[in-house]
Amino acid sequence: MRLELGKINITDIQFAKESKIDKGVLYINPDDLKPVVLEDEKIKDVVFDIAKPGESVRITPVKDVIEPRVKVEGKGGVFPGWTSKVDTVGSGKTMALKGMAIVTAGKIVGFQEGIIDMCGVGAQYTPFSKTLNLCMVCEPVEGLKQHDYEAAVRKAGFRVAAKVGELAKGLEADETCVYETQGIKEGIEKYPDLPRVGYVSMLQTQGLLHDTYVYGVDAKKIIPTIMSPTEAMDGAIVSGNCVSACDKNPTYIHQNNPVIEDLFAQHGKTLNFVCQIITNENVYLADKERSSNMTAKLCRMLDLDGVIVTQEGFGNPDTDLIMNCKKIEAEGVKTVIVTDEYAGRDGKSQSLADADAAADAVVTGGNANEVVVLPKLDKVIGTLDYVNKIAGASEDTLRPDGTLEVELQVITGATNEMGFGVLSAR
Amino acid sequence: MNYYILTNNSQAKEEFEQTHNVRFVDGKLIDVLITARDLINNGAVLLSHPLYGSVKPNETPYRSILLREGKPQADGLPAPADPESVRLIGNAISAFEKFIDKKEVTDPRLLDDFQVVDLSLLRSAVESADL
Repeated sequence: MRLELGKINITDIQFAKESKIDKGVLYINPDDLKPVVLEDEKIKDVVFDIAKPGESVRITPVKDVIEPRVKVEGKGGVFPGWTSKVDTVGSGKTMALKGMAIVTAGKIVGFQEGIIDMCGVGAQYTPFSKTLNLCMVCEPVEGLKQHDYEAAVRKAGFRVAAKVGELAKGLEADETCVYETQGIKEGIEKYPDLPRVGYVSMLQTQGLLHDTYVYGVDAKKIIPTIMSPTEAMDGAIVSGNCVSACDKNPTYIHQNNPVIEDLFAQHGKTLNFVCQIITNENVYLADKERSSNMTAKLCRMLDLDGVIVTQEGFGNPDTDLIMNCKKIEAEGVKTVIVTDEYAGRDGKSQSLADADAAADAVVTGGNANEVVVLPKLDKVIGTLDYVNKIAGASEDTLRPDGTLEVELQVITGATNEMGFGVLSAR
Repeated sequence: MNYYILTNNSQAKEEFEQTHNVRFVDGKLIDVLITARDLINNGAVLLSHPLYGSVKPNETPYRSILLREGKPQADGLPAPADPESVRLIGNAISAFEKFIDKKEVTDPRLLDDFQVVDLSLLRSAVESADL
């Protein structure tokens, strides 16, 4: 499968009368986007705002971060199952607005977290302090239940990202990248001497605020399957989870998965990147057994020499991670696992809730319990009302001087387990 | 399947008590984990992971766990402890103890949100168990 990704570098976002992209500047008329959000009758109102790198702005609680894209050639459309039909995506040509993101923010449940600081210490930890963020805070209709509100905001984010992405239609890309993988036989013939490498992508799938969707399907209900790594670039995998924010994958990170990016960079040179295998992280133990069995079987049937396994979340998923690692290694396939750590505030506690001798090649995304003090910022997009209630925060979080003492857990993407963040260890 | 739900979440009790076997623990999250550990030591088998949810122990006050009775041994002795269940509940209690203490949540809106999320995670386990 071959996908051309045309990149349009966005250098500024401004509100204007006419929505368009001109010389790298995204002009947005919020009145063009409002009806797209309000077509869902569960949403009463929406407020758009812009947050730029370096500004004294805090966005919280963050639900999802999404990169606007549009499909200009080939089958299907972006976010299949949501804003497009369920054609298989990942081939043809897609345009992406780089350097910016749509951020959905606002309280769904009272303990919800997710902080993006656009300046100061916090900005060093979240990858989304570097993007120009078009933020949308949705207000639900009276009495709307948490499940319905979550679904409404999640889907509204995809609709807005698709709508903004359409502004790229007809524009010349600043840069074009080509991603291509081969069929099994073709790949073996083309790269007979290169190791066959796959990517096992574990998706968080447990329930409200802990879910991931594939082509519009709740990933709790899937059995592990293989995908072309380019499908995720077209939004085939989307996020429905945001707690704890540090190690959950917003949709943006699925679209820009750094493991896929790096494996493509080595494809045909040092390795043969065969496919992405997606699996889930359910709460029911028999589901964990079944999914890890299937994942190991797929690795064997594809005759892989090695896989990279990325986890999403902490605690319960540690069990899935170790099951996957053990069973894949038992099939004779080498593994490298990517995780983060909950090693306590002093970093001295056991990092994972599960372990095995087979897990002898581990990449960490950092210690989520590490404490940082975030400065008081001039403006909040969303609300600080609940900041004392969020994971990684405590009763003393909001100090009298307006600073926040928090664990890295609360910062969106801070210890990302696909390696999208900046933290690691040697 | 013949299993029961161990929970301290009154919303979970309310939702499932007419259709499922519910054992309500009138206590905190750690009391649910310790009750589960004691049941496991006496032969019960875990069906759902005791650490579910990214809402960390010590942050949510609620926990719901699926267990089933172990099969008694042929000689009439009680079921032996299931090693995997012993390992998982031990790891869960260790993880719980690792987190800092926080003041008890008393805000009723927040308690409702915690119960709703716990119930959602429990439902996903029950759906799998009831297939």
